[in-house]
Amino acid sequence: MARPIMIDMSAIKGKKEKAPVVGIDLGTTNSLVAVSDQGGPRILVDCDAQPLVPSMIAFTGDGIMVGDRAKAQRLLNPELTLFSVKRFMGKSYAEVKPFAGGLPYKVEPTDKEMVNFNVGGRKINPVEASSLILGELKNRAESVLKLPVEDAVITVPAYFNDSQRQATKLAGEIAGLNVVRIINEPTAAALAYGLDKKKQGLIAVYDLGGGTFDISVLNLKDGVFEVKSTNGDTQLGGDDFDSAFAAFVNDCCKRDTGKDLLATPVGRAVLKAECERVKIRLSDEPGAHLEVKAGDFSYSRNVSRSEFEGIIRPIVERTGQIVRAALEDARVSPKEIDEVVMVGGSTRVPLVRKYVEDLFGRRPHTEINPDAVVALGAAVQGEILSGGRDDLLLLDVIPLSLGIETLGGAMAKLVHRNTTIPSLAKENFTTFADGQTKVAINIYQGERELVQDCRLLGKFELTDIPPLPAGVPRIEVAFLVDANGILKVTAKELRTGRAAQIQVEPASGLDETAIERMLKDSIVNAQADLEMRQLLELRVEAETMVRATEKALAKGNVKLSPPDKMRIDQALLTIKAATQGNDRNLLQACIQELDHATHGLAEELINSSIQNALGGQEASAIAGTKLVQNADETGGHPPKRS
Amino acid sequence: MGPAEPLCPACGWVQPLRGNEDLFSVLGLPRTLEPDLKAAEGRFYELSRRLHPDRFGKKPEQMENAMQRSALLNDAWRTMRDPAARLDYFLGLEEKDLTIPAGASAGAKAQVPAELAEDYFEMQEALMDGESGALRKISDRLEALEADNREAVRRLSARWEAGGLESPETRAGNAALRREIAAELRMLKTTGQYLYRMREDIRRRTGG
Repeated sequence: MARPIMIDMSAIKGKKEKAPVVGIDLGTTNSLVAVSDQGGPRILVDCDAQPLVPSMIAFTGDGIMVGDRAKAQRLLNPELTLFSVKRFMGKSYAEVKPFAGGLPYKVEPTDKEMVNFNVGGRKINPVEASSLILGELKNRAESVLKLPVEDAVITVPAYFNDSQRQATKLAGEIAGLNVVRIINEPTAAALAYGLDKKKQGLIAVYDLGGGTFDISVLNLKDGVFEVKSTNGDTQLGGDDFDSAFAAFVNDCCKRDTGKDLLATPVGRAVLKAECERVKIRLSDEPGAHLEVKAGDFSYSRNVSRSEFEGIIRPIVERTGQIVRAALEDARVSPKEIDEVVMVGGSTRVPLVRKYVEDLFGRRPHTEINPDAVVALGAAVQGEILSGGRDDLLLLDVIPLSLGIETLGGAMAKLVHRNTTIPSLAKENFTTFADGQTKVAINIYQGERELVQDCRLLGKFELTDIPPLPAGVPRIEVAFLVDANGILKVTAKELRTGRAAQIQVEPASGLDETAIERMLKDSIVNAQADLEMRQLLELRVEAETMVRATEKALAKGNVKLSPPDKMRIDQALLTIKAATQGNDRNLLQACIQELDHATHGLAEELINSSIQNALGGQEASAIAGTKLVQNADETGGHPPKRS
Repeated sequence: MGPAEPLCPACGWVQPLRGNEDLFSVLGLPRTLEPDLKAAEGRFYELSRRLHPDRFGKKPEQMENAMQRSALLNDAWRTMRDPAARLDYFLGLEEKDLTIPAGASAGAKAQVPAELAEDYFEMQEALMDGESGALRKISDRLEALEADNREAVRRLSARWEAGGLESPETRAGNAALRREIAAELRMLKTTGQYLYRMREDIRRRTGG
């Protein structure tokens, strides 16, 4: 019973607690996790104080690697290392085909025309891949907070459509998170930026990340953050700079040497990595040296900043049109914007800063960390939602219009884009044919006039309409969008009161069986996660016991019989060996043995009236100190999926 | 008699919707064509802070009422700050109060308003040709017509206020004046719709 362990009381209390809602920025290139409490919002960093988790996943013979470890080996196993997974979320194969071919890893259609990655024969879809990154972030948060993390706010580009949002939410659930809110990235950034309640007025958030571009216009007043409009392009970002730059370098290389670097996965990976490195360098230097080595081939040349800017200018200019559309929707002119906030790693590129300055006629704010601000804002929203602070409120909008199909395939919009949510809209419709007794309510999302150009979200039928001449029945269709952006549609025939309704939810582009399988996998993995966690806890427990025992022995003021002393020494040796291994049962047995062996020692210590060195508490009480180790050592990444 | 307060004055509990709320009173405004938008904005923020569902994470039993109230509040603010939507809503309320049947004005809706006809057909022609000089000219003409329409609404608004119709009591005894104003508003609304459609046509034409 007696364990020579000092117990931190906060750890005991923490046992029943769970961590606050975490904020997660699931980025195309990098991801972060943050938390916000009385101390304000902060990014949770790993043991190397590194805030960014590269959004990369590798599937090698050594198992699944996520983050830094995946990134470190990406040039060795380009076909086995996934990156920019976010660009595939909630997309059909047809939508990703244009850029899928230029990647070092294999992208394939599923039988449902969705996307699968083929990584060395293993098929994995974008949702599963994202869930691995989210799992890594969850582990990181738990190891820093030393509490189980359950609830999360996850950010998405403001211009993500319904299926992209649903896919993100599902990835969170598979990673074992309760996703309390999906929040728009620029809105989150504004929240973190405008925390200081003295900030008032119109702000524009220009968010150019690795794979997506968003612009949002907000009105800040007395702690209320009202989104006036938002717009974006989910296929526009720093990745495109790299691709355009790589294509340019490859053309030069082909011309100079005849070698096509983009022809092989290794060539593509090496070229992309080097272009990315040079791009970053050119943000600070007027010129940089570029060198590509693939096997025994090497190619090098100097690149000037202005040369680079010439390559990326057309891409940067695409953001201008989107900014103007957002300003028009908000009914403000660029001059009326009080402040411009830059978010996303790609806003470090000097040309982007210059372009935005010209666009708004004012110098944008670049003093905030463009990588961290989104996750910080998500954490603040988590704190708001959990009732932790009531001085701030976010009034967000839906990014894309919602409506139903009417005769001839026209889109009748009921809730227009940039409508503040929650929102309720009603409209009356009628029948087309005499005696028509049922109508099909097909629900779409999009800005186009014809439903064939919009995205189908769901469908249902209103039946038992009294047979009346065409145009006589009055069918009221009501759309209710809640604060999560979840749409509920009801249809009612007003003469009879006959009603039908649907909660529009799934449409993550994955069919039910796929979702079921992934959730089942996640349960299987949850078991493995649990086992891994128990092992980690036992390791912590063992190490703490070893330290305490050695400390007690070192005091030298206890009298132990030689057999007792020997038993303790032996137990210490075996437990130290077991701590290095992965056998939970062995470790458990060793802990018990050391516990028994030190029984006499503990009694001696009590006799020496130094009880305070002895916590009589249950072993479980130290669980609060779990997961304190270095993430690498403890295999902080989620285990392998079958 | 305005609608019930959104929150119970005694216990602070969010009240369910009655279903007959009017968007003016939701924002504490009198029924008028040109309300005080500054005051409305302040009221919108103040009520949002108290009614938004994000405030009810720890009070799930009030969540549904909060969401309904909040949706109505958002609808009210969106309607009030947009002149065309506001006019439309105002007119709808008046026609309902005065029991002007929806069919009565439906015939008028289908036709181009007489005073607009000439300009309208001229513009359609210019749009067909799509010559940029002509497009610029009709765009300028359109701007003038839009300003005229706004001015006409302003004059009606002044008549409404001069008649003291902001107050429900005065409204009750002034059906004749209200009918007159409603009829003129109906025409202005139709004109506004045509002007809007032409503006959109030009925008599409010039790709702006």
